[in-house]
Formats: sequence, C-alpha cells, structure tokens
Amino acid sequence: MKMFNKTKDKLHSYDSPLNIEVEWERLNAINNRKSFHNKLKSENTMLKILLLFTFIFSGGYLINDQFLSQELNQNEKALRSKASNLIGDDISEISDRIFAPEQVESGKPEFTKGYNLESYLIAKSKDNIHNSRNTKGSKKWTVIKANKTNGFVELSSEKINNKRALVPSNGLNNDSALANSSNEHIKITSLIPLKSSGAEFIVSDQSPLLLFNKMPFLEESRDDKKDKNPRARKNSIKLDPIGGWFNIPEVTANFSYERLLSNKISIQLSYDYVIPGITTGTLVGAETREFAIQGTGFVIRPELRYYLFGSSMNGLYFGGSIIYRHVNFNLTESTNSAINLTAVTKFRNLNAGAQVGYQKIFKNGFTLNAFVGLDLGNRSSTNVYEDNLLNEIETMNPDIEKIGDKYFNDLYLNPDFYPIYNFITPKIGLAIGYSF
Amino acid sequence: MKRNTSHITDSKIILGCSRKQSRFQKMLFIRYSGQILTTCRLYSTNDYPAKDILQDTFIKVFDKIHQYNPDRGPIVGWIRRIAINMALDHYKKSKIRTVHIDSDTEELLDVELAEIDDTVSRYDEEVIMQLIQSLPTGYKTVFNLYLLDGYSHSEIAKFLSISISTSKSQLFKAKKLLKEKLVNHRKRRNENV
Repeated sequence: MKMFNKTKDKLHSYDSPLNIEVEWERLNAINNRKSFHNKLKSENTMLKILLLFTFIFSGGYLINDQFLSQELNQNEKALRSKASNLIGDDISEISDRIFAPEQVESGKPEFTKGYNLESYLIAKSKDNIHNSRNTKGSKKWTVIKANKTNGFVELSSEKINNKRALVPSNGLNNDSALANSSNEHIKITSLIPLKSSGAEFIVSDQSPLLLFNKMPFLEESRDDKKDKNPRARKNSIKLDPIGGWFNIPEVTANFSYERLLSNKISIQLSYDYVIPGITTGTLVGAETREFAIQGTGFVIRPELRYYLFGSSMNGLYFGGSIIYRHVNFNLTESTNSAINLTAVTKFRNLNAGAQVGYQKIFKNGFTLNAFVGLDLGNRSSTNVYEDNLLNEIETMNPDIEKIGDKYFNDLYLNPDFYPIYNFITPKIGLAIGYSF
Repeated sequence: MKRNTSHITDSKIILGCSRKQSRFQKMLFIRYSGQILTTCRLYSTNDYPAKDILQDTFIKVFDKIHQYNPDRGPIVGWIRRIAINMALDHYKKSKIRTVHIDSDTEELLDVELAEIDDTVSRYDEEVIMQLIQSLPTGYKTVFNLYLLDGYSHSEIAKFLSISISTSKSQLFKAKKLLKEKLVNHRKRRNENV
C-alpha cells in the first residue's frame, strides 16, 4: 500500500514558478525549428523519391536500351538471312522494295519507322559497275546519311563526265556479279551491302543500280564505331548536383574527372565543393539569440573503379574510394548576450567508401552515372570556441553536456535532423557529364 | 492587456488544440505548464533539463492531442504521463545507475513511509522539490514513479528495463536517503533558527 498521498497531492497541485511568456516563446521557437526540420525532412524525402524515380527510370531506360540493341541485332541477323535468301530471285518479285537511285534522289522513299536498315546495291550486270569507271555520263553516288533508326538512306549524286573515280575498296569493286543482265527479268546473283555515310559508288546512267532498302546496315560508320566502342573515350567529366544534398554533414556540389586506365579499370578524382550558404536564425529563450552559420571547405574523393560488366567507363562497376573531409562550420552570434558564441566546428576526417553504380556513355558522349554506396569511418569534429566563458562554464559543470556543443548542436546540427556521425553512412548520387 | 481565460473549459481548449490553433495551445500551456514543470523537475537534477523536458512534453502534447481520451481522466494526468515518459527517455540516454540490494530489507521502510510522508508534506513545495531533486537519479526516478505517480514495480521495471527486485531496492535506497536528508535538513534549520 502506498502511503505518500499527502506529499503526492501537494506536489501534483503545485505550480512551479515559470516565466510563461518566455517559455512559450521558447516552445514556439523549438516547434518552428522542428517544423522547419520536418519540412526539410519531407523535402529531402521528396528529393530522395525523385532521385529514386530518376534512378529507376534511368536504369529502366538503360536496360531497355540494352534489350533493344539485342533485339536489333537479332533483327539484323534475321534480315541478313532474309537478304541472302533473295539471291536467285527475280527483282521484279520484290519491286515494291526496290528503288532506283533516281527515285531516291527525287524524294525519300518511305520506310517503316524504326526499321533497322541496310541498303544493298543490285546491279543489272557486273559490267554496270566495272565499266562505269570510264563510262561517259556516269554518276558518282555518295551515301550522305545512313540512318539506322528511321530507315532512310539519303543519297546524292554528281556527274563524273569521263573522269576516273574510285569505287570504295571495301565496297563495290569486289564480288560484284550482282544480277544477270536480262532486261526483263533481273535475277539477283549477289548482294553487296551499301556502306554507311561517306561511301561512294559509281554507276552508269544507262544502267542505274537499284537499291534494296529494307535491310540493316552491315557495317557501321567510324562514328558509329566510336559510339559503340567505349575504349575510344578515355576521359569523362561529370557534375553531380543532387548527391551532395545527401552528404553528411556538409551540403556540396560534386565535380569529378574520370580517366580510363585499362579496359576494365578507371580512376576518378572527385571534388566536393561545400556550398557556402549562410544559415541565419533566431533562438528565442531566456535571451533572444541571432546567429549565422556558414559552411566552408571541401571533400576530396579519389576512387578506383572496376567495371564488372561492360567495357571501361560503361556499364556496372564497383568502386573503392578514400575520402578526405576538410569542412568548417563557422557559427557567429550577433546578439549581445552573456555567452556570445563564436565557434568553429572542424571536420578533418579520413574515411573510406565503397560504391556500386552504373555508368552509361551515350553515342553523343553524354554520360550518366548513378550510384549508391557507403562511407565508412567516423566523422568526428572538434569545436573551437573563441569565447572562453563557455569553457569556464563547462568546467564548472562537468556533469552536464558541454554547453557550447549542446548549443551548437541544438541550433544547427540538430540530432533529430542529423542522426549522424555513424560509422557507416549511405551515399547516393546521380552525375551527368560528357565523355571524350 | 491579458484576457482571463479561466472560464474556458478544458474540453474547448483541447478542441482548439486539436485544430492546431495557437491561442488554445497557449491557453493549455499557461494552464498546466506550472504543474507539469513540477513533475519534470522531480525527475531532473536541476531546472535546466526540466525546462527542456517541459518543452518536449508540450510539443508532443500538441502533436498528439487527438489521441487524448477524456474518458480516461483529466488532461493534466495525460500530459503528466507524457512528461514522465519524456523524462524517462531523457534519463535513459544518460543511463540510470541502479544498485541491487536484497529485497528482504524493503519492508523496513514501508513502515516508516507514512511518517516520512507526514514530515515531508509539511515542508514548502520548493523544499520538497529540492530534497527529491537531490536524490541520485536512479533512486529518484523509481521513487517518483512509485510513490508520486502511482506506477507499480512491474511497470517501473518495464519502463527502466530493470528487474522488479532492482526497482524495489532502488525505492528502498531512495526512502532511506530521503529520510537522512530530512534529518539533515531539520538539523540545519534548527541551527539557523
């Protein structure tokens, strides 16, 4: 049986002395700060969701692109096989798919959009090509643009007029017995792929070549090769405007330079510039305090990447990094109060990091790099107060939390908002850039 | 000029608070912050953290006021329970130190409890507060929870993640220490007189 009711009743009905107005203002200030942090949290959450969606969509796009390439390759094989089946057929049977250069010249023939094309030259006879070199009135045809995705082959022609012109060495001067010479029924005897942009061929006006235009290109242009071969690109510069918002504790903008070392390995030097934004605020309590906090400094992160799948600088990779953090948070109070704080919190940490990411270099050099990772190591800081009174107070009250630290943390590095300085912290980023 | 708000009932204030209306929140704060601060001080070593706990309590109260059920007692009791929880959270972080003693000694003090209560209750509230505040955190927490806020030892054991016997032993120590402090206080007062 509890027998402490007299004291209990007395204390429960006792109003402790309290400056209601001051405490109410303080409560409001804390509440506002929490609301602000909650708002930031929710904005951060929104940003994270946005980033996640971007990440998913980018991933989806890349995967889709990968599958599309595979599909196109399969189409190409199928079409090539189909083309080889044409040998021996009468050209008239496939006339709906055949265009004379004149037709091409007068207007682009319409093809199914998205079809992967290859153009074949079908000559009426072998002589049409070989003799054309010295034939008066021959035309030199140039493939201006061989667009694989929309299905057009654009050609231009010019009269040669008795000039000797060369036929591309990898093109028409080889096995050119393309069709028999019957005027009525041209039998396809072989097909020669029309080369990509820049390829030239010469034909006689009298015996124009025909274009068979529903096959994929067998060979790619030099540009195409460069686009598909990442080894041709050895450098990459990138900017990550988003990932820095998730850094702890600083907010940064990230710049990076990546250099290819070997087919599977690259090295990246990343520089995080601490955005020197000034945070100002007011803490209303026993005294009203005006303060400003400014973050300055940088984070350097050399990273070694190993591209597990795909070629260098393109595909899924794993990375290990060393992180050096050189960040200051300068807090200054503009209030005349008993404790007028000027403090610098210094982060000088050497940590390690591990990342997994996917980098895609697009044909035009545009580079997208999405990654997630972990930063390992403590992010300890030292606080330096210019006001000795703080240190004195702390010395006098060894049992309580360091006042300067508490004040600083409460104001800016709010533990509710930054439950931080753990040994392991997540890292996420989405960089865009250009590779060359 | 301040308006007298004493005629506004708790239920109206609660309704206003649940609509996040600042003036009703302030009314609630004005009405009960003194009493709640008393509770906070009882669980604190000094007034500085007590005021922090008070702030945290009311922030939580304003946030969770929709969960308050008037059928389960007056609002002040609900706020006090929140304050106690906040205080316990606060002191869990600072790791309450508990010392186990044999449970067969606990009966000694139960007999004397009424006497202590009688003596203590004659003092001024601020003196009582000082006496209780001066107890070590572990003793004081169990003492407050058991004797002033009416929790059982099993509940206290659960709150503080200690055993029931530890809770009992803490209470025993608290009572013993309080008694000593009372004697000392009386001596000092007599000397001053």
